[in-house]
Amino acid sequence: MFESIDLALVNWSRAQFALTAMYHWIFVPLTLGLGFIIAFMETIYVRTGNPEWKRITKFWMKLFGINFAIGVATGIILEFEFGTNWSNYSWFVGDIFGAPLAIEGIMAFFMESTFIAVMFFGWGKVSKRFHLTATWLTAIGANLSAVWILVANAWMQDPVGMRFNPDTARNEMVNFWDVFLSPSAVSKFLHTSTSGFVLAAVFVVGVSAWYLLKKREIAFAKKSMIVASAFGILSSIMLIGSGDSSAKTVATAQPMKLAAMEGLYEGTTNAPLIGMALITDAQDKPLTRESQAEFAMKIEIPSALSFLAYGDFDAFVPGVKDLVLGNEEHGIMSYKEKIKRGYEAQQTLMAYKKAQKEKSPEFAALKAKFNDDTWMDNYFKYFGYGAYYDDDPETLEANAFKMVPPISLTFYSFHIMVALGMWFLLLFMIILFLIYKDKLADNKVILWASVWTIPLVYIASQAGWIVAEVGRQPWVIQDLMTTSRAVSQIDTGSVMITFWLFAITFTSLLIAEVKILTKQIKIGPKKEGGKQ
Amino acid sequence: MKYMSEILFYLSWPLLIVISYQSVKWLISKYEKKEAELIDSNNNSEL
Repeated sequence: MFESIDLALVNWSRAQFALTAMYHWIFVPLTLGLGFIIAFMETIYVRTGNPEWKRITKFWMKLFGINFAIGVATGIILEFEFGTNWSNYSWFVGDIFGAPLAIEGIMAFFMESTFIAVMFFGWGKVSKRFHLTATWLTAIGANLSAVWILVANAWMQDPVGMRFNPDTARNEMVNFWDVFLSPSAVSKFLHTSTSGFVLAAVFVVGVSAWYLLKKREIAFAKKSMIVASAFGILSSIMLIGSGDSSAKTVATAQPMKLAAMEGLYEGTTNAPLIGMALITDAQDKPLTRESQAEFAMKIEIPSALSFLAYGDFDAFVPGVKDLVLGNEEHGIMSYKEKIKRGYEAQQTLMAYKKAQKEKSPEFAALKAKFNDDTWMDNYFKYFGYGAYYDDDPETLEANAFKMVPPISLTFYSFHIMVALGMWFLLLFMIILFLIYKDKLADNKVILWASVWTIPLVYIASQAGWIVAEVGRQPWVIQDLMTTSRAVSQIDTGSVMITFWLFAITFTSLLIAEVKILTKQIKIGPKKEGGKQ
Repeated sequence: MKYMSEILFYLSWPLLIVISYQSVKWLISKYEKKEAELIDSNNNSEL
């Protein structure tokens, strides 16, 4: 089944999309969170009339603006790539994926972009309250535009609310609310937006700590840190809550991703959650039914994974091998069986197309299958698995094991994200405690730790997306379409060239952003009535 | 209602913003009050 696919094209297309998405996600989370931090600061200014708060607001707004302007460029390219590099995907599910993406475009361009202009250029030109409203609407607009792209992403991980149309070979949306209000969509939005809030809070805390280390702008820095730490603590709590809910949706919709996140090969009841471990990469050689999880060391929390996944300490959590080979005792259908069913669904679609073209008498019976909910649930549901079919049982089993995502990368990304998330919460609490004890300015260890936590929060943020996107491989749409089938049949050389062009452009943008930001940070907030 | 828990979960997001703002407002007022008292006591001791 794999002969017709140019793997170089698939891999370069994947690399290009991953590159664009990862660069885009460097800029976006700061916009999501810093918008609200600025809105809090400006609200205090409008309520108290204290010009110090206007000064604080304007400084962070300047950094927000630099980040926003550079981030927009990467986002636009990302949307174009769906059409240029992933046209089969766009054809197969464009009817569903296109709707939230279009709403995202409207939100981003009309709401966010309109009010951001007032926010930057409206000081002294519009009333204080109107300006404040524009700041709030910019922050809300940025997050509302994120809702839609995250709803679209969640749908790819947990496709609901659609029906396959065999005439067009496309999935069509039948219930918008099923898509918008799916548990995966809600968890994804809350987890992703609050991760942006935490990132922005760490950024503000880290930059402010640098001023304290340099013994500059002491009052400005402490006030900024209070706003950011308070927002950071509450956002971190919600981040943990939404992470828990994400784990539960992953356990239901993507059990293989959960098994990869924990390096769980053999399913078990009272499954422990790994707190810390060094995994030996068993994927150096192809996975087989003999493969075992190999850890150089690990520290586990008993029964915690069962509780995290199913809210029950005694629940059975399937491992990689339970999913690939099946587990009758726990009612888990094997990948091998799903591949056979998916293959039958694909063959039925081909027969349908042929019968339609030839006006064959079999057409009515084939059409009836696509209208039969039982057949759709038992066969079409596994449509994508058919790409791994082979007549030879041994090859079929080997193909089934090829469907396991990269375990080490998913495992480490997940644990790095969780560990760093806990550190950020602890840091915010320490900062607030030390400020109120008036001991922060003298504590160089915490101040330097705050500065160095800025790169760490970006690592955690990227790690989260690696878990989400690498952990769901080989699917571009869970169970329905593999990544290799979604790619556009274009020249591999073109993708390679554009990959390097994007890599150079994005890296240049990132260097420009870091340089401009550091320059503005070194200049510091504007003195009231004077030059910077 | 079919989507009640999801709608409530979405609503926790604006609630987070409101609670965060109220917490920030309270913490800042507490901090500024403490700072003002400190400045007053320093001024009094200088006098």
